[in-house]
Amino acid sequence: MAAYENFFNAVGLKDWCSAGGDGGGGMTSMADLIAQTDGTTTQGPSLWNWPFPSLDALNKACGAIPPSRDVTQGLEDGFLAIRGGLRAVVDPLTQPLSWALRDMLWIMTNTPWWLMVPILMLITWLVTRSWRLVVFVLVSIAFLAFINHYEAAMQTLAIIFVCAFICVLFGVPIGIAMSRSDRLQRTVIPILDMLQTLPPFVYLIPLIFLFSVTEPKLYGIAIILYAIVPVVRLTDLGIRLVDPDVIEAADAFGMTKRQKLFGVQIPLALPNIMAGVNQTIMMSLAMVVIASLVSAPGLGVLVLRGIRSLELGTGLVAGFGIVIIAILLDRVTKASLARIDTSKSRK
Amino acid sequence: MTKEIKVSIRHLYKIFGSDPQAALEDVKAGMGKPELLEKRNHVLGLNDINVDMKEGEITVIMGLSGSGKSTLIRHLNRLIEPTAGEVIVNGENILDYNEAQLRKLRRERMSMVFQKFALLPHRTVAENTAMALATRGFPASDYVSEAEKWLDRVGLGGYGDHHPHQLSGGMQQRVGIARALASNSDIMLMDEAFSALDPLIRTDMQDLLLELQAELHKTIIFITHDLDEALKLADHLVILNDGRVVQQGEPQEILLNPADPYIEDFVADINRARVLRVRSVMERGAPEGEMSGDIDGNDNLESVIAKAEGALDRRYRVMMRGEPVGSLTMPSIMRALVPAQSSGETAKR
Repeated sequence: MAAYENFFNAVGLKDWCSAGGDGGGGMTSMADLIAQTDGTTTQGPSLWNWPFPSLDALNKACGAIPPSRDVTQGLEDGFLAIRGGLRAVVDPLTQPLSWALRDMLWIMTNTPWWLMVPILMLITWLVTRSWRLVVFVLVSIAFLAFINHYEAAMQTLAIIFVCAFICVLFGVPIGIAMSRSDRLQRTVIPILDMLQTLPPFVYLIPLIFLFSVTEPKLYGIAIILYAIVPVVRLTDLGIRLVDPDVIEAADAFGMTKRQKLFGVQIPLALPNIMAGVNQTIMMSLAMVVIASLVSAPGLGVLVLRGIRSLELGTGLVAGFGIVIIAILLDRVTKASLARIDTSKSRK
Repeated sequence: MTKEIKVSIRHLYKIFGSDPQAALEDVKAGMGKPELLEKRNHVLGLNDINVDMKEGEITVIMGLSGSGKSTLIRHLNRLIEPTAGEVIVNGENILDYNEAQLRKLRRERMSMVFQKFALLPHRTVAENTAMALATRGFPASDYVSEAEKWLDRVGLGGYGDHHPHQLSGGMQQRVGIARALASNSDIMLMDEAFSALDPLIRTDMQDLLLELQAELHKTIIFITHDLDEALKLADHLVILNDGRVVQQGEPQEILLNPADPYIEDFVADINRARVLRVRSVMERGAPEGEMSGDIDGNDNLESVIAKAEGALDRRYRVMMRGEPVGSLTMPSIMRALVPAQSSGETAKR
């Protein structure tokens, strides 16, 4: 019979096992069915294919031990149990995110193209002071508009602007706090590691349970959680890397903590912080495509359609559009970073 | 020579480690640096330091790396907190200061010049110079002219709009000095200020410092590992070894009467003819008899030898402030040029 039955008999837990359950498990696996039809059920496993004492293997021998399926079920039940309370707290807190996303989407899709394109060019000029990039922005957007992807591109950009802005808004202060306290750094780094390595799809699962699918914050939160990591990390790193001699000089001349932070540490860490912002923007772009699974509008929806209904052309063109937006955002942020670098003239 | 004592260090101890207070008891009971490291795994940074620094003088603290000199200077503005002892500035123990008082001290009464310049790379030279004033909260319009004035004074007039990285090392340190001067503090701490510069520029900077000092009469505490530099600048020389003061006093005095083998080793390699002054080796008392000429008490021996053109039979009258105070014969110069060997072979190590 089952591999561990003799073991439970030997330690005298037979009664406890049979009292606890139906001994053999409620669920019948495919392997069991095959075994039954083969007529090999009565034979125990040989040493060669002796099973690891996993929950399922133990459950087979002793009904009182739950199968692993109950663990996932328990987790789900637990989450559903706290869902109401969690929702009551998180829902109002994150509501402004929904408003911001909705308004930004509205603004960027409802502003006429002949106004929107010059505005984007002006922003590019202000942050980079490079004519080449302004022309590049014009050409890229004109191309996307020409192939009728203008609206989707604007939706994608709108979501990225809002999410990246919120990432910076929260990420930089968190990074600064981490740079000042080793203990906080030790607690936050594992969280950042987890956020960064968790497969992007996994963010979506609990969020679907928490929020209505019609709420933009559903994908907003997923994008922010995924994209906030680099800006936090690089702010922390940047401030920690500021030359200790310069910090000592600031102390020796009697700067307050505040003067030191805003007058010395942040300016000197700015190149690193900006590199973090660049990474954050790129990661939110990556996530905005995946988030189309939970109703995020934009180019991702077209990619998704390409996959779902095997529309090869639609998917590839939308994918190419995402590449163009990625290059555009990367070049513009890198150019503004380089500008900060030279105007602040680091060694 | 009745100058006020400006800064005074009393029984200062600094022990690095997890439980310095417990280790302090051992040190006071006479445990040495190697023993403390071995038995308690604590590093003895400073061991019972007592130094008085007089107003308007340059006090040079000299020692090799690891002797605790940089640690010591950082106690004067409490960048490092001592394990025990007192640091008295203008009669007040600054270790009793709270944060606000300490900040005021650092902003208004003590300025510092660093070995690696430590200028703010993102600010212009003028903004760097005015750092102390800006930190105190003066608006830019007030301090720009002040910054320009001091930049002019250190020979960097017109460089105000440059960024530090556009300047050479020597020029950057001039900015560092201008920054310290612009704070208008009466005490200047200089932590190996010239050690990172090449020899010619270092000499220039030493001359600049002496020139400024002749005019401004700051109380300067200067750290160095270079004995030639120490002897050139010092009014009062403190020699540190393994966290202890080995000898302190007038530089000429230390040179002629080294207190222990460590200092003998130190002074063995320097150019004595250039460092020793006539007044330190002359025979005191009204000069009599025939003289070959007059020399000043503050001339160094090198210039006297040059004046005698190598002849050994000359005898000079020594003048101080226009009055004859002693006489000097060439043989006594020759004797002074050989290091004293009080304890025999140690000097040859």
